[in-house]
Amino acid sequence: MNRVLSRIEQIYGILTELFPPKFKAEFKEEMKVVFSEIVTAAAKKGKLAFAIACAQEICDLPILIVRTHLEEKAMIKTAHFQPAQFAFRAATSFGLGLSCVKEFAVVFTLLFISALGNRWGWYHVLIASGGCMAAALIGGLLFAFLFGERNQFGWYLVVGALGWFIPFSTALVQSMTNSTIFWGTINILPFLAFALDGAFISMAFCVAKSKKRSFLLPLSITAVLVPILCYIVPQSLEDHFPAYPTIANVMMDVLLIAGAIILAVINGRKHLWVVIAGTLGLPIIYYICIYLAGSLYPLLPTTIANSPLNVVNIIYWIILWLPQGILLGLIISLIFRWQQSAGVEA
Amino acid sequence: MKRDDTLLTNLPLTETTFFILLSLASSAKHGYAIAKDVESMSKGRIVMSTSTLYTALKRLLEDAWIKRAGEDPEPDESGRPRKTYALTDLGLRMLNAETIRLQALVTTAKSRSVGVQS
Repeated sequence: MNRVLSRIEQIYGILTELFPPKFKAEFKEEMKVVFSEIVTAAAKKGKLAFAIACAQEICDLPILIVRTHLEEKAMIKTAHFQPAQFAFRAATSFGLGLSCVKEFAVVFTLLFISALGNRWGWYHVLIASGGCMAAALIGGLLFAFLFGERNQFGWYLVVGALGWFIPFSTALVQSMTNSTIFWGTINILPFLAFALDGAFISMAFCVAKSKKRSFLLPLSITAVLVPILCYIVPQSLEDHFPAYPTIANVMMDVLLIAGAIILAVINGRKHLWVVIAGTLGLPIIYYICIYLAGSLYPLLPTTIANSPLNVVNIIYWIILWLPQGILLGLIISLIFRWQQSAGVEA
Repeated sequence: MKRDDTLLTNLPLTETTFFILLSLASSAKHGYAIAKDVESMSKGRIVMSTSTLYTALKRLLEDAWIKRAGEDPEPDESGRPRKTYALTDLGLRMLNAETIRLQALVTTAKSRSVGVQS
């Protein structure tokens, strides 16, 4: 551990070189001492505490380096950068979350479909839920690392993971049902799936920040019930009325989005706009990114369902989702901060 | 009069600034002690990274709300000296002004029976 500590301290020392000369001359040595004390104390508490301490130290550096450079040049003498720091963390969390978590879930879906075929049973729902939970844990970890105060790590991890899990498990189980519904040339179901992602991720963000433990129960119940309902309802309808599974899926998505909005409003009225921005923002950002990518290179796949599972496509989707997550994180965090500073009644 | 204007235009303080000033109100402290004190006073809610702490200290030094107060007689574990910071008169006045402002808010809220535990 001592070796790791000294390496980390060396890396931090190198990173502090990026501060402007005047700031470095005044604070660099002190910062190295304090950093060393913080990570040493965290290391004594365990590996997890050590990892969180390092992540938070490293994440705060870029924005503060830029800030001090700008201040030294007297470009923004009185700018207050806490919102920017918050937005940077949100952009990192949502950007990496959307690309890693979504990628994991999609790869899992494609493997799942190709391995099991279209006719499926109960154990498939369990496997799908397990895969989504594994993917959601990545999202929860990112959430906790970047936003969680050190004594609230578990809370952020659980709420973050549930926030990612519910929409992904819904989309995964629904993807096994033969359902499409078009509005013009746009298939509404993927649009709804993205709205669902945006609604739940932003709602989880608000709930995690508010630290209201009472929300854990409804979220956990939803996480357990949703994959089961998404399986039972369309499946039982499909045999009798071929068009009904689509309607059932659309209704389930709409109900879940409404549920996310209601939960956010109960959590605090100021969170309404954050969740609405997430719900509308993610599908819009998605279609803009797809449009731009398609304009640059028309042969790129436009939906995940049409995208064969290979390395090029996996990288393509990671690259495509990263800016979407970053944009979503920026929008949500800025609206969240704006609502807080506007003093909207909670 | 000019000083009072300075006080008012700088209010409200950010929570981080308030806690740093509050931490230094009792005695001069080095960086790590300030960070730990802020974390403890905020009950773990505010965990400042090193860079956040020092950019805040830099701003407070520039505004003359705090000043350098020499070296801590007790070096860190590896024997490196630790520089300490202390509150200036202006810093103390800022802290008092913010405390009065917060107190007024709480009094107003209590007068409407908000936040009063039954």
